[in-house]
Amino acid sequence: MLKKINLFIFVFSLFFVTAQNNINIKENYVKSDYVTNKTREIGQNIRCLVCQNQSIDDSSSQIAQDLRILIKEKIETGSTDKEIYEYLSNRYGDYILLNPPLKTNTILLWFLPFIILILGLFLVMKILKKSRFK
Amino acid sequence: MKSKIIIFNILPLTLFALILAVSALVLYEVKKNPSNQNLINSQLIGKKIPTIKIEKIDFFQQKVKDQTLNIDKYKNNFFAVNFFASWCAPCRVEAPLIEELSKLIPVVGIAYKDKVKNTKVFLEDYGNPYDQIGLDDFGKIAIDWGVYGVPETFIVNTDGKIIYRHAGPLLYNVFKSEVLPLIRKK
Amino acid sequence: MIPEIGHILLILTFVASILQVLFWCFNIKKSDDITINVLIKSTFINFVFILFSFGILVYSFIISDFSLVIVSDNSHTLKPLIYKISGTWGNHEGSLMLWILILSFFTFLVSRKKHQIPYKLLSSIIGIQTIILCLFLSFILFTSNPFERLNVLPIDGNGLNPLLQDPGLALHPPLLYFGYVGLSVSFSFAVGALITGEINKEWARQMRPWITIAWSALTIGIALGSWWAYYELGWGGWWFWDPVENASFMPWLIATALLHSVRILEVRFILINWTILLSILGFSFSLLGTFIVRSGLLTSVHAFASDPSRGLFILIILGIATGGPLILYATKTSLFKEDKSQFNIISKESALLINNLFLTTAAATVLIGTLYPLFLDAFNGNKISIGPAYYNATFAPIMAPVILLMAIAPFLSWGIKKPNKIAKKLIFLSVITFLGGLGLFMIDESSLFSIICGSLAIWLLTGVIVDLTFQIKATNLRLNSFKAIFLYFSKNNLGVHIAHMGVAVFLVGVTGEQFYKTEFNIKKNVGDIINVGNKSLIFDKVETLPGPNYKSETATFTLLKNKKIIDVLKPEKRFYPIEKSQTTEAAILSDFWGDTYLVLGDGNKETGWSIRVYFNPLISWIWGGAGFMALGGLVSILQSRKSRKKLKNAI
Repeated sequence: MLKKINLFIFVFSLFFVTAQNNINIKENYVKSDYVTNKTREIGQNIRCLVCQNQSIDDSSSQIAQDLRILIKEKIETGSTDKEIYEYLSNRYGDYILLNPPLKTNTILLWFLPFIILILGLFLVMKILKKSRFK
Repeated sequence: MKSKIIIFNILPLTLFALILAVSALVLYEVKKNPSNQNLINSQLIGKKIPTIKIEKIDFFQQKVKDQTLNIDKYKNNFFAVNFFASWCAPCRVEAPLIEELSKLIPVVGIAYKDKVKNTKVFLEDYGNPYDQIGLDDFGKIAIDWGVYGVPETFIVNTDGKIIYRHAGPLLYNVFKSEVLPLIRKK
Repeated sequence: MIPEIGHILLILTFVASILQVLFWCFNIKKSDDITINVLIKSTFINFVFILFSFGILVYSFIISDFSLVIVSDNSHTLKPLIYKISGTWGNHEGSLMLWILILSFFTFLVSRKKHQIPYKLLSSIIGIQTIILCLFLSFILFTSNPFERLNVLPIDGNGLNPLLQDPGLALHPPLLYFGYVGLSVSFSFAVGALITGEINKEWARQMRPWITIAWSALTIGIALGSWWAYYELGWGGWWFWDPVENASFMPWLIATALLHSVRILEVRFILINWTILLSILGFSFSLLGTFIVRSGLLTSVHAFASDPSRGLFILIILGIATGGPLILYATKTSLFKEDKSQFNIISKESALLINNLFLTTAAATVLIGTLYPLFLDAFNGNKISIGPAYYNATFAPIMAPVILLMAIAPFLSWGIKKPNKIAKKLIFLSVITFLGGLGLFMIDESSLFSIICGSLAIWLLTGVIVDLTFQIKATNLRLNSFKAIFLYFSKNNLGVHIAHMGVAVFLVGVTGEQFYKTEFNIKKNVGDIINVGNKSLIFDKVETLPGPNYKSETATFTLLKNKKIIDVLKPEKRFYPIEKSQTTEAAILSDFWGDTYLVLGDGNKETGWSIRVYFNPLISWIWGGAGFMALGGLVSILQSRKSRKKLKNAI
């Protein structure tokens, strides 16, 4: 049985070597340059305003295209991520940001899950303590 | 000890009641203003208008080169800015109301992502209420104004600040109840 | 005439169900033969009536009876037959009919457990199920009548959204509803327990299969929806944290927690109140899931009929169906006396406890993300958006401990027993995971999160295998063939192992697809070649082809790997003249290692076409993983049936 387990480990690790070959696609065709990647990254956090719940990266609507061009230009002229997000939210409001910024009105949003978790942990610890001592 | 248990028993109920109450409130609001529910608020209300550095279109289809829209001439006056396009169906619907508006205050038209000749045809078909017309062929000016579709109409006051924005075609009841009082205030 | 019969059947069932509920109320704590037989027979009547009514609706779609509003709005003579049938539930009214069909069917199935469930509890379960049926029937009859007639008979219908003319999407609602209705059964068990005031381990044992069916159905239903989005929407995405997706995901999370808490209850009499609460919440979230898509409350790709006046009716139903039980819960939970026996801090009980904590917190997180924009808008008019970035920062870190614990929990023992050889197992696990993580680190495209995600997947995968192998070693039986191993585990948690394996496989798929995918958007013309690594795509041709109810622009690409022809891909753009809409049909080549995904964009012979190319590694593991999970669920149901039959025969 131990032999079988060892064999399994061996095969298992081979998996990752061969996986490399398939996952590692070197793009000698398209240069995934910084600007394109950054535009996509930021685009994924910008809401398409005329779609139902999509990012501008996932939409072919006019406004999505225009915003992508705008973002690309801003990246090329050196704007930081923060500056681009601010530029857009100054004009369209926080609604356009798919990653809600941490402001007074989103504190609950960001912290409530962890507050619940911690409170729950206390509860569980109490139950566990009770279970140890009669 | 007992009070703790009571809290835990009532907690789900209170949370649920809260969620239900807020949902009912939201639904009520939606029912009251069905046209307003998907529109996002303009961020520019109360702020000075963004600069409009775009080329002016002459009525006779000649783009007047090196001449940008003259916004200064409206100093100390109310005026309106209307984003429109020849390819935009609701713009045709609101054309008569923009005409009405132009009789009260000057309206600057901004042709959004359009071509000069198409704009000319549109204005010939639906009338030209605009005091000046600018061409925003790449939509850059629109983005500066927080515009995400056409038509959109802005009212600017004597201090050069935006006091009102309507997204979508201007409707008669909106015109009467919201726009007119603002203009009459002067 | 026939549709009117369908309508009348609904009205009759509505009246009958009200009478049945009243009958139950008057006989609420009785456990005599007459009461239970009346209730059992009435479930059969409800089911048959609704079955016929539903059948009439399907028939109307098949014969294209455009005198019915529902058929004329949603169907067309040119639609293929199978989509005429599935179109029955591809709309608001029809899907509600499907809901009550499944509800009445499940209620009928539960009623057949007369010899396994004590009469008092069974009559309460049937009573509560019938109340739910009443509520849904009233909603249908008063706001969403499927049998409404048109005054003027149109020549043809308005057709069906081409996005919905799809096998995956045809099965998606039925499966989700099986899930929701399954959770209604566990809901009724819970409320029934509150009413009768009696709970024991047998209660938990009887309830579990229903939760498992619901969970398995939800797993497949959600996976189908994701898979559909992946191949239909053309952007390679399969989960968007869209409010409607969340609405089906929350019941799944609760069902998973419930599945595990009920498991504890079968062994040790603790967490009774918690289990009851979860059962109530599971169904509440299912109701939320059913109705949120049609209430007008949320903007989403899915929004059914956004009708605020229906929305208010829905809120009332939700209020009754959730508020009522929660009030009952608040007043009656001191009834149940918990087991005072001990269990270790490191034991199966505590692992399952912690599992419940994290899963419930995860469900709460999804709820917060879904409802927060609504609440904020109502509170001060501010509008915000919540996208994947939020969930990646909150949901993902909360689920990570669940995965960690999932691998270890099977090693632990119940009660005060010491876990067997746990140090050995943990060391083995850690070593393999470390090696795996190292391997991932070697890959160029890896990032911190990809290594973490991948390592978690390896941790879980190894954990399941280690558990299996040590169990085999520990028995006295000589298990030296696969058949012997299989037979052994079919008596010992085979379902659980398959399901947990499914999660691991799923996680491997997520790691591959999320973190190692490549995509690009280029303009190419016929004759061009796209080279990516050792793969090439030759753009062969573009042609216009007719379909049954559409016109298609189809491109042909030949895929080569290492200069050898692998396959041909044909991405299309379809134009549906009746619905006046266009869809993109991506060409997807799937194999064990991943997908090649091609989308044809706009273009013509002169300028060329815009083509989107995606390479999605290991994505089929996502669907496979979900499949294994559901399979595990089904296997465990069969196992419990077998063991109960054995118990029955032994007695």
